[in-house]
Amino acid sequence: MPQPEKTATEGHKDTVYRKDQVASIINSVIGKVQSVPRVPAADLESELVALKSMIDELHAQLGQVNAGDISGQFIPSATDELDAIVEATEKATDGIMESCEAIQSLVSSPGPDLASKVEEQITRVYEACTFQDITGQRITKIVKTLKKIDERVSSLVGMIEGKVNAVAGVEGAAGPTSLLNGPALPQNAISQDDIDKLLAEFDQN
Amino acid sequence: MTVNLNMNVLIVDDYKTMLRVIRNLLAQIGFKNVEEATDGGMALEMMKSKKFDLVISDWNMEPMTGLDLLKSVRAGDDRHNKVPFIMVTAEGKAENVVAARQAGVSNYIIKPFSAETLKGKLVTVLGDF
Repeated sequence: MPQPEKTATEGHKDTVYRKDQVASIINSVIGKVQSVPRVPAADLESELVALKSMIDELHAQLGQVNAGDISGQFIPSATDELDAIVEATEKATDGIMESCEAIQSLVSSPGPDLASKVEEQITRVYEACTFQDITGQRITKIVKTLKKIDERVSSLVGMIEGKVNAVAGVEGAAGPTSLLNGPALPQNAISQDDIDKLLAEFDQN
Repeated sequence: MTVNLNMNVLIVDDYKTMLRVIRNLLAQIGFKNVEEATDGGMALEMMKSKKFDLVISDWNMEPMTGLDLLKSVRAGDDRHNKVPFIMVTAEGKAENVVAARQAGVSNYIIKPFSAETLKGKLVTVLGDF
């Protein structure tokens, strides 16, 4: 095997060969191939068919993984949920702080209806605390999304390593038709009024 | 007829904070006998040993959801199959509301909710306080 020559591209990371060295390598490869006993055409064909089948299978599996979902769907969905969590926690904290400040102000100069005014502020605090449930459900959705990403990436890695034949389901049990979707994003949320109207329509029918 | 504030109320939610919030709001209204369950299965067990006059349940719980609880209650014995059942949930799609109604829900509150909304739905389901 000819050794590469040091050329004018000294210091470049790629190895550089001269034309005659390349020709020599090719001739060496051709010689080695020719020295192998002839393979029957039928065997060669069956090997090629098997190779094509493997490539087709891998192609199909890669298609099933829908790797594009990771950047096109999963990450944006998780980002939206995180944004909604930040918004909800900020709103709740703001509400609780406002009620605390109102109570502080009420007790510093107590009036005759102090008790009812304080109770009203306590109610506001209870209402604000409902954020914990909603954000908890959003975080659960994010965790599920991260698990989906992990499954897809693991499938891809497995295919590359030739260890995986089957691809995990594209969607989990809770697909789009499921009734368990958790809290909607604020821009998609249905209001209590809408629900009341829907129930009223239901009762009329 | 005014509502008997001594009635037995069962609240069901897998978030303890939510149970506390609803319990405290009910206490503000005046309800005295409120018990808690953290999923549908636990609620059903409690209903076997005690009669409840009102159930307020979350939907999204594991292993037994609020919808499954509602269906089980409605299909159950005479003691509870007509008990007022209010779903308090973040599941706000129209198909959720329809499914709950078809299963026999008495009313439906979407989270997050205000004390005023809760009281309004209690009045709708139970009558004036």
